[in-house]
Amino acid sequence: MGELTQIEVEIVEEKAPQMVRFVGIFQSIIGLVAMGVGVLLLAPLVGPFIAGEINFGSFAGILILNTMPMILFGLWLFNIGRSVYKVFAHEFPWIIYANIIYFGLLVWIGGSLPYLAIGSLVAILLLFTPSVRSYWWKLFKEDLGPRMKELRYSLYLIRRSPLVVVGVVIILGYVFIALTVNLWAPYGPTERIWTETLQAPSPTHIWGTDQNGGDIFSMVMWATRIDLRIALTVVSVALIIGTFLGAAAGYFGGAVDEVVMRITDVFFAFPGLILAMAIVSALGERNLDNIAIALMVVWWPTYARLVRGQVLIERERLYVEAARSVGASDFRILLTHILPNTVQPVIVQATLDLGGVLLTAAGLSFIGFGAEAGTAEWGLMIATGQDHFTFYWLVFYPGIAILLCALAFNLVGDGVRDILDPKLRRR
Amino acid sequence: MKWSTMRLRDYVIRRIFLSIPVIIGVLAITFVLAYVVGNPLALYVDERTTPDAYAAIRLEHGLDEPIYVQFFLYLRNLFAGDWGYSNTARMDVIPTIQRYFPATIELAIVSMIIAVVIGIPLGIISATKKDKLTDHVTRVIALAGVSMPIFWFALMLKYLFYFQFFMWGLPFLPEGGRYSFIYVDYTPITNFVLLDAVLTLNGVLFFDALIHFVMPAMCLGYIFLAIITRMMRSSMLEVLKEDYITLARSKGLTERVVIYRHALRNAMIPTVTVIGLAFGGLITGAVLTETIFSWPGLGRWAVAAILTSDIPSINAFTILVAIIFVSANLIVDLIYATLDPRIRYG
Amino acid sequence: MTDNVPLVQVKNLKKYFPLTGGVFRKVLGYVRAVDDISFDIVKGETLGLVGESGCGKTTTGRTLLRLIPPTSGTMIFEGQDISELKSKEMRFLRRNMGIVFQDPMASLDPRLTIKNAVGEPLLVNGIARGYGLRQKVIELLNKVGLNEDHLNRFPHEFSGGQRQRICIARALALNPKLVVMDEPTSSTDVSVQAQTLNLMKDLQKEFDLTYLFISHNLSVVKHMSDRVAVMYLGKIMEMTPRDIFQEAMHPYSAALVSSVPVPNPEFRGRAAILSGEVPSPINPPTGCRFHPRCRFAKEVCKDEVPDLRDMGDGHLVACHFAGELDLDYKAQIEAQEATITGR
Repeated sequence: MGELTQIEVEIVEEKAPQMVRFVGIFQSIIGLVAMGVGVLLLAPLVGPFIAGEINFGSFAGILILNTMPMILFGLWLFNIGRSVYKVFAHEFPWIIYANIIYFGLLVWIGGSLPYLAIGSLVAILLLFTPSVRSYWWKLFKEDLGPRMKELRYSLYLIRRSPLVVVGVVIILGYVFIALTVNLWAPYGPTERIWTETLQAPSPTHIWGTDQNGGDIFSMVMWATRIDLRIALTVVSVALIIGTFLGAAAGYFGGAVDEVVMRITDVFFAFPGLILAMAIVSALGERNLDNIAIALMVVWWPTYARLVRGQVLIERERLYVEAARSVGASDFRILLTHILPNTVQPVIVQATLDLGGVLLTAAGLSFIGFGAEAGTAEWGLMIATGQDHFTFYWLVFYPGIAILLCALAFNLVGDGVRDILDPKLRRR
Repeated sequence: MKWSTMRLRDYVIRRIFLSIPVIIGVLAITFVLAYVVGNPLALYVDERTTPDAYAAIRLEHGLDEPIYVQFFLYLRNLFAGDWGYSNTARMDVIPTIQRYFPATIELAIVSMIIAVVIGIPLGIISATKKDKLTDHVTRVIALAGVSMPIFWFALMLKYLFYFQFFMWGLPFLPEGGRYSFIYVDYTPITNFVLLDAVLTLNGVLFFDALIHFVMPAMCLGYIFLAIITRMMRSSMLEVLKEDYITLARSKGLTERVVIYRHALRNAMIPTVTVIGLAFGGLITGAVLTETIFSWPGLGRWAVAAILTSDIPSINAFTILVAIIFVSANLIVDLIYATLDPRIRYG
Repeated sequence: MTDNVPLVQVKNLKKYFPLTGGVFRKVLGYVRAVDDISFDIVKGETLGLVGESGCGKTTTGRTLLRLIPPTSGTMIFEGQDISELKSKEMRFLRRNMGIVFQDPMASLDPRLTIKNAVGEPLLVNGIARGYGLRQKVIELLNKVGLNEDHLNRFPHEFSGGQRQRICIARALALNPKLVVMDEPTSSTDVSVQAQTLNLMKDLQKEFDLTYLFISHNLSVVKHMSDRVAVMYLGKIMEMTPRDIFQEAMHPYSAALVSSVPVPNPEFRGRAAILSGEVPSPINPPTGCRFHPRCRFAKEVCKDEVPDLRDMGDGHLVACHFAGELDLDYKAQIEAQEATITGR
């Protein structure tokens, strides 16, 4: 440890070598590219939208789901680059974290975007060149210590609860299927064998076929992609919007609080599925994007309320007052003291909601919104199967897929809530 | 820092006042959805409508007025009882609701009774036998209920009890409907079949209707049984940790007396709230199951309206459900405040 | 030590908390936590603030740092009026002030390591970051008797006394001029208490600090303070530059002094001079706030609010009969002295 103290004397921030400056500039460029790509994704739709050729739903979908995240991430990545350029030692590891999260976003949006991650990989590798490494590695390693200790303790608690482990294993299984289904599924998602309709489960079609000759097993597997993606999208967007509004309402109080809470009151006056139904029918077109948008609109108030409640509790804590007494800004207090302490209940709620959204989306699909006929999607498969319900396998297998998935999320959410119960936790 | 004190009467008045803006908000949202985001004329126009005719229709429906005037007209129509024409039911919306409402409510009440009667004892047993086999089984049943797609469950029940039982030559349950109109004579009085059967002392009708209730009520009831059981279990466990329970035990009271005399009352309070909230969920469930069981209620009507983009019907259904839901929550809050005085100080 | 330059001047400070009720949550009344108090703190001294719990001493400390806004009155810090400052300007000024709270566990964020907790003032004010921050934090920790090994631990890994020292290190990080000590030792046990108090005295000398020392414990206040102010129901009853144990002139101060327990089983003095409960700060008594519990109360005490009068040497007393009463608590004091010297 004494070694670190000496390094401090050696490193003077002004004398940073070219290499560090270069890493900072490189990272800023990654950020700029991200912002540019975000704009490019939307650009081809602007004309047709103004001309009225495409409806509000699909335009808003791209805007909210692709462009906005890319621009916000771009800004973030750019800022990290700027801090690194100025040699803020504690900012260096953020290049690693931010680029990994950015990679997740690129994969999620899909298309050829994941290739952009090569730039991020280079930035991370540059970070480990000896001359750059000396600037942050020791501090990073030291900061990592206590965090790893906490993480290990959490993992230990999770391992002790068998139901959570079962849930995690099931979820990982679903994720694995979704990522690799294109490699091993016997048939494509829309592939039909017209000569083999309504066949009972047999060695050729282990879960049978539907009225058009679609292989149920393959379709259920392919549907994992679509359904998990919807659940994940809806919950993460709702969580971000809800957290933002809830935190603002709780922390600043007064008029902001009144307005946000009255709006959530109104949203809570509808059962989720009913409001989503009304929204999708107002949006006109029936597709999965509209379902996702409707569910986001329905779900954000849950998080707004949850976060506000937590923030109201945390705001009165003594350590918040202590931070204020040393001159911390409202923004910093909210970001470093209040929100991290509200994360746990939000994570639990989000896990439970992944199951809830999955069920509601399937329900909407079942009523007749959602994917166009023939898409491999669980709710839709059950809906088309009900006309032939005497052939049980049409309905049974997609339903089991939904049930298991929702069950796994509920198991994990419930279990983690019990684990995080402050009465059991050591502090 | 704010100290507040509030009496029950004040709380009730305040709570009722607070639901007025919520209802106005509900109406505003439905207005925005139907008139701003959606196209309220979707039913009246198609590709063959000439621009002149289109303009005439717009004028007739007041769509050329500014938004706030339109909203005012919308509110005026709603309060005047003019909720529009339901293309799906081929009559005005208000009589349509009057026709379909009893069927849904009756189904909801029967399901709720099943859920409460089975769910609360199940929760208590699960809590008192914590981590025993009974508890594990109950928890799995409850968790499956929460994770179950209700429409899938309905289809599976129908497959088993209607189709498979029929194939096996067993006495099978009816496929759907509220009663067998072919061989049971029934003239609606209140439109609640079971109530009418009792009023007219019609034993055959009562039994027949009861048989028709089995599958839909089992289906809806199971989902809410799961919610109620989970809530009952966790609140019972919470209460059993309290000091006054330890005191009661240390006085030498039997476990039975401790649980039913001392713990149950307090453990019931959170469960009551959940029952109120579950009522909204019952209506959601009705939307998903009524079609499957050909149940002539609001849910089936709403789904039919959705499939034909019948905006007035969807709108009316949404408003109605919201009002029911808000009232249910209001009643629950008031019960809660009477049971638990702490809630009033906040 | 004192050169008589006031670092802080407080004039007619009031802090009322609104009380709401009814259907529309209208304001029904106010809790008068601090009601029209004035005092100065001279550079380099320690002003002790004593009183029973709920008398408004903590509120005074927090209002002084503008952690809660005052209802009315002025607070002048180094010649600058801070009672009306905007929160941004106030944030800048807070570099000159520190506070140590009563409960060290609650005043440390459970998710922050000690390095981040103590380093926070330096980071948010742009004084240090990265390796430099680490170095400064180590220096601060050394000052309060902790070391480098403690840097990356969480608050729950420390004992109560250590946590309080961490809080002191954090309060000192910005090299402040004024530190408000809000019952800093009341949540630790007696052996640790003495250690912490001595540390505070040493730090005061080293950094030329000015303390506002808030406590309900008279002996602790006596040990720490140059001057003592006695608060009762939101008002200052007595303020003395001398030993409050020897010179108390207000009946309330006398009662407080005589209620300090005597560690001598032989002693049979008159305890419990204070009878009755502390009245509610929502409806404080008219006239002198202490009159319902005062054994010397006369008619005039019910009607007229006594001013703080100077009884010589800056000894201020808010009593109509200051100096005329036979307070009769000396026996108690002597017994205390006897036990202490007897050892």
